[in-house]
Amino acid sequence: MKPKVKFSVALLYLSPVIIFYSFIFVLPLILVFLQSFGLYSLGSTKPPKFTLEYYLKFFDLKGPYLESLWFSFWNSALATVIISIISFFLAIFFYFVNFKGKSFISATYKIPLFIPYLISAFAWWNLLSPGGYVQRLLAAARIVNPNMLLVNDPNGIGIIVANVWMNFPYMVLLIIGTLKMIDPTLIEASRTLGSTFWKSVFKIVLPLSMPGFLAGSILSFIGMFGAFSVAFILGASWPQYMSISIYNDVTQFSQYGMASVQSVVYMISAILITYLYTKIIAKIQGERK
Amino acid sequence: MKRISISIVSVAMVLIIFFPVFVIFEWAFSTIWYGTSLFPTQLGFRSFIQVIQAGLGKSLILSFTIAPLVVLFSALISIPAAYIIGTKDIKSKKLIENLFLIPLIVPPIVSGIGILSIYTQLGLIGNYMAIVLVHMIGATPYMFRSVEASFESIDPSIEEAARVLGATRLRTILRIYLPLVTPGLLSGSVFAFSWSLNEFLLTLLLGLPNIVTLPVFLYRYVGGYYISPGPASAISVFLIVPSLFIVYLMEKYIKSEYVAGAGIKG
Repeated sequence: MKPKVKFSVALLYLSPVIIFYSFIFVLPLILVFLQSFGLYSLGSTKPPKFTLEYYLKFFDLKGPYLESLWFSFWNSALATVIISIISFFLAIFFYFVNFKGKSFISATYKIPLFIPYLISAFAWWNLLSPGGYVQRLLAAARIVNPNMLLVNDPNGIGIIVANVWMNFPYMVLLIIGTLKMIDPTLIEASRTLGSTFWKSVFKIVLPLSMPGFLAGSILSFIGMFGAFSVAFILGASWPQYMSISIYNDVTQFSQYGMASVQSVVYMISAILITYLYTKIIAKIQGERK
Repeated sequence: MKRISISIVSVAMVLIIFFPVFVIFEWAFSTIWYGTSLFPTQLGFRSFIQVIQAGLGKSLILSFTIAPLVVLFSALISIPAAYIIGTKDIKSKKLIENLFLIPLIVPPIVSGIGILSIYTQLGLIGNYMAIVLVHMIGATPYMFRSVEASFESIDPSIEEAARVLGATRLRTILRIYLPLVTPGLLSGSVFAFSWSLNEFLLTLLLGLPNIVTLPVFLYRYVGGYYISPGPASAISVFLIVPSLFIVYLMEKYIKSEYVAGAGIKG
């Protein structure tokens, strides 16, 4: 049993972290929030005045902003689905199959975790851009039209490919983590009782590894949804990821108000998606029990 | 059948992981590469010389001195928090743990433009320590998670025993806990280090013109409307080699469970 400690004592130990995040994280977010309503402005000589102008512009259905948000969402969601499927089968593979050289292969797949995002994006730009190896191979195999753009394309194919490459190792690690907690006799029992390997995988392993699976998918999704580097290198000039749109508004057009509104909506979407996702998952898993 | 599928998965894995890295090396060591040719026409060190003359040394020094400072400071602020949450029974524990995830959920550009306002007014744009602080935003949650997981796994009676035998609280932490949480501290450090080495957007937004870390230096050759693969690849080599070394160290000394545990629990 762990000893109880008063909350005030705990706060004392937490204070370095709290002070740090208040200044470097919470305060900036408050400023962004104020700026989105025109109550504060960087580099403006006009006196601050409350306005909903920027929000109206953002939620204009014909405007570019909602499309950016939607693009960031579906693009990351699609990548997450692909990552989940690949990672599940790889995790099964690493968990059940033993072979010579396994330790080398299982070190190999972790490499993308430690390659900076900017470089991963650039590496895939090398491969997918016209004249790159993968693009040439696909064109020679007549899978794609030789003139089709695989990077900087309006569908974000390049972004998805690079995101999958960068994020699947983390997901595999998480799923293997939960697989290790499954009682191996369960699988043995189902096999002895006559079910095939894949049947026991889908009926026993998949449901039991769900926690790692679901935690991994939301983490990958949120990472990609808010990411900058990959979309920056591999994205098209339109549609843009929301992060790119904000960056351009700040650095090129000095549109601080508009950038702040986008930031507020972007942040709230990210937090809301995570919250709802975990709630729904908790509910589903609660029902199953 | 089984043998064949093992070979297919292994070969595919090695190809998919190493091929993009290989192409970067190919570009880095090529001096001439005609468009239609499959391989570089002429190999050499021209790209390396070009980036060294453009100030690679300064970027290397910046990146590899900022990262250890980020590790050090994020460990210093995480350890007390991880200790109290990992070893004691306190109210709202779950809530506090979840709050630590928020810096990872909020897109970096969002906090970035807020910090831009503050740093501009305080004159901290391009300040070395200011960039260390900014890198800590994302590094600290990883550090906290993995150190906390270590604290969590320690038998609480150990502290009691030490205290009964007359050790002060500080001494207990330094002599009893610290050695026991070293694995968690190590894996947290690896994550914090690679986070800092990786961090690009906030450094670009807040560090210019003085703080050109390796990723920002790389951005010169890949950002904007043109990409020059030669120099960009040469710089990438300086970031990939340490990364491969980190993977090697992790495989050798740290269990992969810790890697997974650093990210999320429950």
